[in-house]
Amino acid sequence: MSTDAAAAAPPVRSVGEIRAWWRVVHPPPSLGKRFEPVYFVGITLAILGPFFYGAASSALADVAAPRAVADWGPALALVALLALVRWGAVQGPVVFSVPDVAQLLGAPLPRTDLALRPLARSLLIGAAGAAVAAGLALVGIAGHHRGVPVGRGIGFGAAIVGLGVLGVAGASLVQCSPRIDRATRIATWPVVAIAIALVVISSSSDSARKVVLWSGPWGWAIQPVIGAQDHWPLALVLLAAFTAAVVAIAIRRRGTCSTERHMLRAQARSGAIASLYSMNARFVGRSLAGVSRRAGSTRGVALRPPRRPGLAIAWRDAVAALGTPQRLGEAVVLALGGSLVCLLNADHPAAVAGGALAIYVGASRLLEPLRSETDTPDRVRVLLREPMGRVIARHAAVPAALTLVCTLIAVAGVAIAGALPDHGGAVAALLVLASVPIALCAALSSRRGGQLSDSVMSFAATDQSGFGGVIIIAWIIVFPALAVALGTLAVAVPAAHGTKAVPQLAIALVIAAYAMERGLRWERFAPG
Amino acid sequence: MSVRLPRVAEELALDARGVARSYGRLVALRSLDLKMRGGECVALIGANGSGKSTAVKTMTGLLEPSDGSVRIAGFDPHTEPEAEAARAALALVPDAPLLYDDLTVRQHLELVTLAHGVPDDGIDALLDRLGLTARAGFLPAELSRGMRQKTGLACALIRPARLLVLDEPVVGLDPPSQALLRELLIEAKRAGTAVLLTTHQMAFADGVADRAILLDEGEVLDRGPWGEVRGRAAQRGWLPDEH
Repeated sequence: MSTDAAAAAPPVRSVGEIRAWWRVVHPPPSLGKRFEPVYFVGITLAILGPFFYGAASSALADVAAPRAVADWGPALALVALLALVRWGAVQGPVVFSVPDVAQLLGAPLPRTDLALRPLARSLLIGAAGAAVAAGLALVGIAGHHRGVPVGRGIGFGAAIVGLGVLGVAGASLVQCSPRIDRATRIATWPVVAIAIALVVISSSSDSARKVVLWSGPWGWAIQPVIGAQDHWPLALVLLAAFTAAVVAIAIRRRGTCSTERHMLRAQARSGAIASLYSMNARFVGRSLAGVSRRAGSTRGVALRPPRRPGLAIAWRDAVAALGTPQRLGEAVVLALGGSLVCLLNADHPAAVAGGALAIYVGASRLLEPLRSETDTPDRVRVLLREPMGRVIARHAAVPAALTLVCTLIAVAGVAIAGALPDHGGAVAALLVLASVPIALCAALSSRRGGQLSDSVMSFAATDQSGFGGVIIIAWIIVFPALAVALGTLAVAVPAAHGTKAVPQLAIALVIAAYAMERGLRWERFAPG
Repeated sequence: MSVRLPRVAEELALDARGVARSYGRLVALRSLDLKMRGGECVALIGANGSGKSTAVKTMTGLLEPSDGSVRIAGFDPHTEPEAEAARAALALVPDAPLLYDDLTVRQHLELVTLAHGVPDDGIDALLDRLGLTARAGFLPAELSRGMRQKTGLACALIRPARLLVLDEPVVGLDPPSQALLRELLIEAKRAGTAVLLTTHQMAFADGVADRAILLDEGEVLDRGPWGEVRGRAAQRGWLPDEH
């Protein structure tokens, strides 16, 4: 190593030369090999396509009715756009491997050149994915012999492709700029609220819907299928111009992402891929969340510990909940909102099911300490005295109690407002009773950890009946489905059939809660 | 295409002013000033969690500073495209070697020479010097921890640099390899390269380091000539002397 050599300013090779060298060291697969996946997808579509098309067009046609597209389309487009843009906060379009960050980003190579190809590839993938989504949507929109004029169909496809490209370009900006990252993070929940408002406004009147359709790219993108004949081309032009501008900015700023941000994403991707190989969904999520986890988002909380050993786990859970106020807030909002949806729509089983699912998700948000125990079962043996099963069961207490309190508050609020449904007392009492087993369902699901169990995997792999995939999906959704079923039964049955079955339902819910609590503390199948 | 680098005499190899780095409410590094000229070696010493690695990563562009500024050979390593020139002047050996799973030891060196635009005719000699010749065709997964560490070291030494930064370089190295590393660092100093290293093994830095900075909880607790700082650190009981 010599300083003189450094001062002599050695000629730096281009990124193209590095890639050429790499192709020599690791020759890329042949053209035939590269087209193998395309061939398999093509042949599968040719064989199964007509069957799936028939089934999907019928199902999609029911969902994507013109009215539903007009009411929900802009909101869904906005949420999809937000999700794409926020993808830049955890990964983004330009992600290198860890050694690439060290060796290539550590070399005096122009970052703009290094980032150009991955960015272009991601923009293309975004466009292709959006084209598939647009195709599926068109199948539904044109279903039931409604049809879509060719011009409008092409316009809609182009608009959704533009939206996909816009999302990827936005993700690139989020990836490169901490300032834009922070701004979009802060805007996330307000944007979700705006999406809900868009649905409400769209469904209120035709003139209000026009406002929504011109309110931004999410509205412009939907116009080709529901907008006025004269106006949708203008919306398409606006969307194209806006997308082109954002893409141009993303391309110009592609080399500005700091090494620190590249390294965080590279390490997260490496961890997520390793977790995927072991089929551990939780660790995939944890790896990716590590990128956007802000230092200081978890606070230490000074909460006086209890004197009774039996309350140690509840104290630990309370510390965890208070230390992550955002998570606590989400849990409260979901439990309260879910309960309100159930009470105010008691005669609509689908809405009640949605409300029960929200309560389940709310309880699940508070079960992070339980999941943490299943991640590292040995810690329980080292730090705690009680056996694993009992520790797990105790971890369910705080989420169940909070869910119960939120449901009680929702019931009190609705009762004070005089908005209880028919047989309101019975509905409210059963919902309160159901809230506990719903939270326990979330605990039972969390107790299994993020990894598909070996027994399920081996059973699914050796199954000859062709239902291996169904078994895996059933294993994943069994507890959320049970929670939804319990919540729906508890609310919809008395709302529809009166108070006749209330005692039986109440007893069934109490027994379910008891059985679940026993299941949680079942040592034989405890994690670790 | 070439990277413009100033003459050695004109610019400091490293000029860090008021560099700070926080992780939320944890202040890992507070206002570190460090100027280094070619041919000198500075050791950052301190206990675990004192901020040594944060200091190194922030000064080499791996971490963004919360405050302060850094110049490597006159260029800011945090701002593109200026950072390109800073990277041309910087060779970094991280605490854990960051190697490709699918490249052999030799291919790593070939890639580095190619990426830095330097001739690859020194690869064989360097592999021989580091005792890696017999492992030149091996993948990282086939190497011991120490061999991987040496490969990372070779990647840093194969190219010219104004500033050589080593984060805990002796971790994983056996005593003969540590002795060889000391020799290499002394040679690099003689050749005019500025060497910045972090360590909590004081004996390793003896005879290599000219100056030292003692960090504690991210703050500079002591700084000065190596021998003096070492002596005061030992008196305070801050660091065990592992002679």
